[in-house]
Order: sequence, then C-alpha cells, then structure tokens
Amino acid sequence: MKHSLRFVLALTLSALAIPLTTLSASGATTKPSCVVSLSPTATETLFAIGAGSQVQAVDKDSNFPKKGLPSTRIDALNPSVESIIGVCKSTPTHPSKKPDVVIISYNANSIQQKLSAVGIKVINDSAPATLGGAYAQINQLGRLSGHAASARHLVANLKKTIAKDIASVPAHPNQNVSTYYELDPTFYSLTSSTFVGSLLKSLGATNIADAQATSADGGYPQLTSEYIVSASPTLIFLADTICCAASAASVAQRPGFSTISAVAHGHVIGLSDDVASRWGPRLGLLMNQLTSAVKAVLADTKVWNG
Amino acid sequence: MLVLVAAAVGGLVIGPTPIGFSRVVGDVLSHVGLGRSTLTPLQSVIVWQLRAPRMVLGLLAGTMLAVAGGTYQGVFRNPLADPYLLGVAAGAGLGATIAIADVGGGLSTPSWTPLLAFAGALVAVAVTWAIGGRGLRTSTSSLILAGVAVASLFTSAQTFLQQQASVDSLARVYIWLLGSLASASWSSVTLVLPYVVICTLICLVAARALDVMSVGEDESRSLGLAVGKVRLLVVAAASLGTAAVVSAVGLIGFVGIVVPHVVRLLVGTSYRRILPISVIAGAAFLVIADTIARTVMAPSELPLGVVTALVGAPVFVFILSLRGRVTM
Repeated sequence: MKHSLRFVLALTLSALAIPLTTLSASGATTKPSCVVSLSPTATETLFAIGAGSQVQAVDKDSNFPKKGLPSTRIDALNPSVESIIGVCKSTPTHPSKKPDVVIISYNANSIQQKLSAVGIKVINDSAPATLGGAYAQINQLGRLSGHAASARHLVANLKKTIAKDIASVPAHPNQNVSTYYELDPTFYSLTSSTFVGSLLKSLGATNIADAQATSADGGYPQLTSEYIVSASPTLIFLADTICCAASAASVAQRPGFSTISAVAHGHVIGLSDDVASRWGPRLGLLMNQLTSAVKAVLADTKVWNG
Repeated sequence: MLVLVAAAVGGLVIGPTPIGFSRVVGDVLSHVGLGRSTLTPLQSVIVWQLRAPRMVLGLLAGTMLAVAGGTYQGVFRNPLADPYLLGVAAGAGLGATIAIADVGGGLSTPSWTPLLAFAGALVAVAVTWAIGGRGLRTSTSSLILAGVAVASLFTSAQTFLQQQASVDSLARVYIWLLGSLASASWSSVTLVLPYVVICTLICLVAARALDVMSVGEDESRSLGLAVGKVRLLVVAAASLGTAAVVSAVGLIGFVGIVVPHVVRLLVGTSYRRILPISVIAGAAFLVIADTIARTVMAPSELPLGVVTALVGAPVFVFILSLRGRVTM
C-alpha cells in the first residue's frame, strides 16, 4: 500500500513538473521588447523567426529584409555605449530605456565589455566555422527573442534543404572540382576551414586557397594572380559582385585569367555579397547556388575532356 | 645600368611559380629572333601577362617617383621634398577612397579608382597652387605651406569617408594606400607610359635650370633665368607624372625622397647628373623592392611601401654616415 501511494505521488508530481520543465526549456516567458542587432546576419535571422518587431535598432550594414527594418542605425565599427542605450522606446510594460539584448558579430571598441558593465546583455555571434555553429546561433536567437519554436523550424528547413543539395551531387572520384572563392578584387579568398569553405567541401569540391593558407591568415589568405592562373580552378565564385562590380566578364579581362579553366569554360559564378557572407536564414539559398554550380561543372564534358 | 638589367630580369624570373632562369631568358631572346622558346603556354602567360607588365610598371613608377622627387628637391631647395609635397598623395588618396567606398553610388567598378585617384591628385596640386601661388611670382615657402594645408584638408576628408564606409571598403582603401604593383596589366602600362616619358623628359631638360636655381631665386633671376616659369613647368610636369603613377600603383613612399639623395651622395650635386641617374636608380630600386615584396613572405605579399622604407632607410643612413651631411 505504502509503495502504491509513493508511486502515485511520484506520478502526480511528475505530471505537475512537466509544465514547469517546458516553461524552463523555452526560455524567458516575457519576450524582450528592445533588441539591438549590430550583426547583419542576426538581423536577418531575427526577422525570419518573427522577432522583427522587437528589433529597435540595427547596424549600418543590415539591409535584409528589404522592408521593416528600424530606421535607427548604429555604426558597428565605431559603436558607443550612449548611442546604444538611448535607442529603445519605453513602453508601459517595459519602462526601462536600456536594450534587453544587443547582438554583435565584432567586438569593436570593446563594446561588449562596456555594455555588460552597465547591465546590458550582449551576445557575440561572430562567424561560425561550421554549419552546426550557424544552426546553434539561430536557435540561440530564437530562445533569446522568445521565438524558439520558429527558430527550430527554420533550422530544420535549412538542414533539409542542405542535406538534399549535398545528396544531389553525384559521386565524382575521378573529377577534381577545384574552386577559387573570391572575396574581393585583391584576391582575398577563404579556405576549407571556414564556414563557406566547409560548405564547398561537403559538396566534394577542393579549394585552391588551402595550399596557400598560413596560421596568421585565419582561414582568409590573400592569393596572387600568378597562383590563381597556375592553379587554374575549374570553378570560380565571386562574392564581390556588389561591392566591386566583379563579374565573369571583368574576371576574363584580368591579365592571364582567360587561360583559367573556369573562365574558359564559363564556370564563373557571381554571388550576392550579402548572401555569400552571412550565415542566417538565406543559407539554403547560398547552398543552392553552390550546389548548382558544382553540378554544372561536373556535367560539362568540355571541362574534363580537355 | 647592370643593376637595372638584373632587376628587370629578376622581375621576370622570380615568382611563386618556378620557371627556370634559362627558360625565361631563352623565351625573351626568342621574341627578338634568337633561339626558340621552351616555355609552356601557361608559363608564357605567367611571364608575359603577369610578371612582365608588373616589372615594366615598376620601372616606370620608380623612374617617375625618383625624378619627380629630385626635381622637387631642386625647385624647392629642400632636402625633405618628395613627389607628394604639394598634396598629390592626399588628393589621390581621397579620390581612391571616394571610388572604393562608392560614395554617391555607381563607382564600384574597379576602373573608377585610378581615374578618381588621378583626378584627386591633380585637384589637390591645383588647389595648392591656387592658395600658395601668386602666379609666376609665387615663393617656394608659400607653396610648401599651402601643400601642407591642402594635404591636411584632403586627408581629413578621406578619414571621414573611411569612417563612414563599410568594413570591406575600409580594408580595400587601406590596401590601396599601401601601394602595390599586383594589379599591373599592359593596359595600365600603356596608360601610364606617355605621362612618365613626357614628364621625365621635361624634368631632364630642366636639369640645367635647376642647377642655376640652386644658388637662390634672386641670383637666378639676375642670371636671366625665368624662375617663375621654370618652377611652374617642372612642378606641373613632376606633379602630372606622379599623379599618373600614383593612380596606377597607389602611394609608394620613400622612392622619391631617398633615391635622389643616394644618387646625390654618389655623383655630386648637379641635377644634370642626379636626374638621369635617378631614372635608372629609381627604376631598379622599385623593381627590386617589388621582387622582395612578393617573395620574402610568399605566398603572402608584403606591401610595397613597407619594403621601400625598410630597404631604403638603412641604405640611406649608411651612405650618409660615409659621406657626411647632405648638401644641396
């Protein structure tokens, strides 16, 4: 009898504990009303998961989504504590003028320490090295903003899209798809140890920048035109189409570049600078573009038959 | 002259892709009908489309900067004068910043950068002359002071624009300011060549007048020299040539101030000797510096301005210690 009572009591308490556990797992019960995003990626993510109305200021480089961004802009390269503190509109339920959370991707002017010193929560979401890191940041923003479920849904969709893209690339043991990923016209590139580099690697592509990487460049070496011409990559991605008007035509005009395989066979792919440099909700779009390009090269018999 | 030839050959032979000395030289000779080339098509592209224009542009830039520096030192009778004295560097830097930061929009194409840098350099010199000059009777001291003021103004404007620009633009402006021959092409050589040739010739022809001016302005006038006209002509030529070079290669320092001094310490104070020798010395110096810049830390390249300063300064101090004080 005593055992039965204890058993029933345990079951009852467990049932009562479930809502408490659920509430704890979902984070704050009150959604923050003043979020400041100094990271273009975080801005995109917050709006994608439905937290846009909570964002009251963004940095100057935040430009997506095209509509709905707050008019208050902060210089992320030279931020000041005073300018950040004063951006929030106080509400009856939230009379404090301090932001609830500030998201940064670069700790300029030691802003993280300065804001923390005045009691403002700061999240430093710098560029991740892996897809897992990107997903973790999306989920984190979901929990912080009170949109955890939306964030999980976004992550699940991204995983599905990316897995589908990876699976769609046929095995190609005898075809080396070598890539050059251009970040700017001075030939800064990225290696496979970076986030985008890992995406290319997952598609079975190799990266000509890997051989030129040093420990000092952090995965972003500056190549030389001579090296790129010598390496003759089969696929070139341009992530400087907006900042620097790079295009397949302009690349073909560079000295020596017309002899590169990618240029000669028309596999120079222009990417939007923003899509190519952010790790948020448009990751699926970036992966689609990378996948399509790799598949096009594999299918081009002229590349492989000389 | 041997140093110049060695520097030029080194510029063709030395690089990240190993191509044998004899094969490169053989290819060069084959172009003048002596022997056959053994380079592969890829190697030929590397030598003639990448290394050769870079080397030639280095020769042209080194020549112009050295001659312009020597000319300025003669006109202003100031051992610290360099080609950037009248605001060329600040003006070019502002023009390049406007292009790279895409101020106003529509300037993101790379071809705008040299154009606006060239325009900025000329505008700066023109403003300097307008402020500091009184027509042909302008004095050197007022020009120098005006140049300092204009340089400060343009630099502050450049700094403001940099602060407003994105991180990517900031990085690209910084790289441009450091100076580099990496973007050299035959088209950039073709654009710069007429300016360098004509402006250098003008400076060389004016060498005798610079010798006369070294005794002082009043004395020069009493000797029948039209000091104002000579000053205007050589300043215009040196500034125009420098603006053309800077628009193509960015701000490479040290060449224009040190090379003429080194030459002066070796051959004396006559500009009829200094300027022609500076043509050769400046060209060789810059090509050698560029070869060092692109090999010493390969695969990375050092900024060219860093190399010219690191190499040139100790050499200058060494020669100065051997020869005593600098005499103009």
